[in-house]
Amino acid sequence: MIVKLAARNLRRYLRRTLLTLTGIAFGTALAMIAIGLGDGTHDMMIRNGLQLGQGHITIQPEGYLQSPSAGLFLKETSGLLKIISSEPEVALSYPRVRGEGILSSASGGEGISFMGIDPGIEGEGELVLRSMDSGEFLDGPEGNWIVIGKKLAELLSLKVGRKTVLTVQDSQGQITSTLLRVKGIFHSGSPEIDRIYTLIPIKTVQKTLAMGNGVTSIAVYLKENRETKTVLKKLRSSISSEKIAVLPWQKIQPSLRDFVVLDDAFGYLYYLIILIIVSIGVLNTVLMSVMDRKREIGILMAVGMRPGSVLRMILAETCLIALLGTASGLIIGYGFHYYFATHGLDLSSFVGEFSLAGTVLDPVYYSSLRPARIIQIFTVIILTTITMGIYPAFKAARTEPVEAMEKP
Amino acid sequence: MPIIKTEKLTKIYRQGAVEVVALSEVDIQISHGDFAVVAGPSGSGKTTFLNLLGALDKPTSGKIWLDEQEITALSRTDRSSLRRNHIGFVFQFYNLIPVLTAYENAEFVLLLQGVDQVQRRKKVLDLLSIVGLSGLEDRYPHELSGGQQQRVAIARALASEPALVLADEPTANLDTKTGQELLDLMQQLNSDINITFLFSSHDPEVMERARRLIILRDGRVVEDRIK
Ligand SMILES: Nc1ncnc2c1ncn2[C@@H]1O[C@H](COP(=O)(O)OP(=O)(O)OP(=O)(O)O)[C@@H](O)[C@H]1O
Ligand SMILES: [Mg+2]
Repeated sequence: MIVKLAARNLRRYLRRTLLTLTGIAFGTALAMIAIGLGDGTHDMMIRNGLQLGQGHITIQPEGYLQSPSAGLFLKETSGLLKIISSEPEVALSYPRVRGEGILSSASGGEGISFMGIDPGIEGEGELVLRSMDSGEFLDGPEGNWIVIGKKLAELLSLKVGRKTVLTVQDSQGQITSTLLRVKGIFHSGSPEIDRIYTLIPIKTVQKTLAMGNGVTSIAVYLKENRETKTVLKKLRSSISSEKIAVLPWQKIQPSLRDFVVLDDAFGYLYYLIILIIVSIGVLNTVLMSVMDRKREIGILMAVGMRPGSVLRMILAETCLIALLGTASGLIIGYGFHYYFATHGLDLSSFVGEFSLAGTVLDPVYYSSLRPARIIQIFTVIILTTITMGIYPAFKAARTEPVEAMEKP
Repeated sequence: MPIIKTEKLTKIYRQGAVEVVALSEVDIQISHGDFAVVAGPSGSGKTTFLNLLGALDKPTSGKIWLDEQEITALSRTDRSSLRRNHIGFVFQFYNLIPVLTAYENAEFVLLLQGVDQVQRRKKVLDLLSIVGLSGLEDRYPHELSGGQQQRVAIARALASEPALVLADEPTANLDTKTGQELLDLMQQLNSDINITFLFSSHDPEVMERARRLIILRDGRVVEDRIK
């Protein structure tokens, strides 16, 4: 009977009900769109950031993080690679040799950071490969080739096919040089990355640095970012060497971590603002509807409806609105999410590609919503709405029946 | 044993610094089966009196016994169950729940009492036909005239067969003919099933029909006459 009364009351004040419903639906849809795009960019940021970096988990010599030097490297990799690939959460892993040096041409020299990679492994250098401007990407682990960014090419007046000299300190501490030819030039959109980031076949780097088959790191990429902690724990226990450090990306790329934390905080702020707006709307209409109905609530109580039942009636009204509102908002929001997940939200006419904290953001945003996230939005909004009904419900239950008896 | 007994029943309304003594030390007894009217000029305290007897409001001081039970100290919830199970109300101005049909309004108290569906149906249909509303069961209050609404309220007040029906100026908003019909009905119920009625009214027709006339002035009983 309480539910029947509640439903009838909602139908009687149809306009107000629809208004509240629309508000909740709008809030839910907005939350889904914002959170979907937020999570999507977030994922993209981490994905791109990690592609330029050293994976979700990096395996490198102990002490390398504090003072990277060519003297520190992992001599033996096949055993490590076997352990890593036995973890089901791992997608791919890449042995790499990183270092810093000076790249020079006839126009001068520039300090750069290089990464020796094996382009033969699926997905290696993917981000650079995607943003090739001219020339070609590396095609194998050997050969005196280098791929550089557009900015660096400009600074050194280098073109595809031109020669350049890389000067580095090898693993024995000797200064040594090697002649490389520009294979390709990329344009990531980030001037910083385009100036400093270069790729060289791994064997060439190993030879130049006189480190045999050693690598400075193994970058481990997981299927899901959120598995990082679990896999980290497992790898740490299976690779129990004091000389080897197993580190999460948050340690390797602290600026990316800070940025992700900041992005999260803004995401929650946005969420909060939507919730506050929805809450105020709901509180306002439910409170108003209770005030407007003082007389009939008074009658209900005068003829013996318990205060507790009146409370439940108002709560039932709020619950019904909340359910209908969030459900329709979910459908609308899911529609938008689906569109943005498949087509993306293309902002390239407003912004170019840009980089932040060492990560590249594509100008096309894709929405990403895990089922758990949708359930979370659904419950949070329903609970918030229902919470907003509590005060008006108590207020209604406190109505004095005599108020209904007063002259109109 | 009276159905209602009051002792020095007093109600003072305070509005800022102003005090209005709406009811002042009223001692009265009403017996089972009475058909009584409280009369008096506007502002004399009639509504206040009925509201206190119906446990809708609490007195400033004094006591009320309803069937031997002292009710002024009861909690909100206890007063609510007292109203539900022992008293039928007909109010002066606003009576029905707008979202319920005539049938559902009359049925409402029975639902609250947990009476089963079959019994509810029989009782409500009977009562609606007694008050002359057969065929209008599915109408909502706004589809009924003032007199018809008042009759639904009477059906509701009687549905739970309360010991006492309190009616605050039940005929004030009705035309003479409808008012008379209602009085006929209530008189009949009073003599047939011995329901105690207490009205407030300044309608001479109502005073004429009452078996007992209580006149209030400035919150005091100035006349109490059994005819
Ligand atoms: N809620 C209230 N606050 C303040 N004063 C009130 C309140 N209700 C009633 N009064 C005052 O108490 C006195 C008695 O009022 P009451 O409504 O009981 O009179 P009444 O006999 O029912 O009048 P009427 O015939 O106009 O219905 C009046 O002076 C009225 O102004
Ligand atoms: Mg009155």
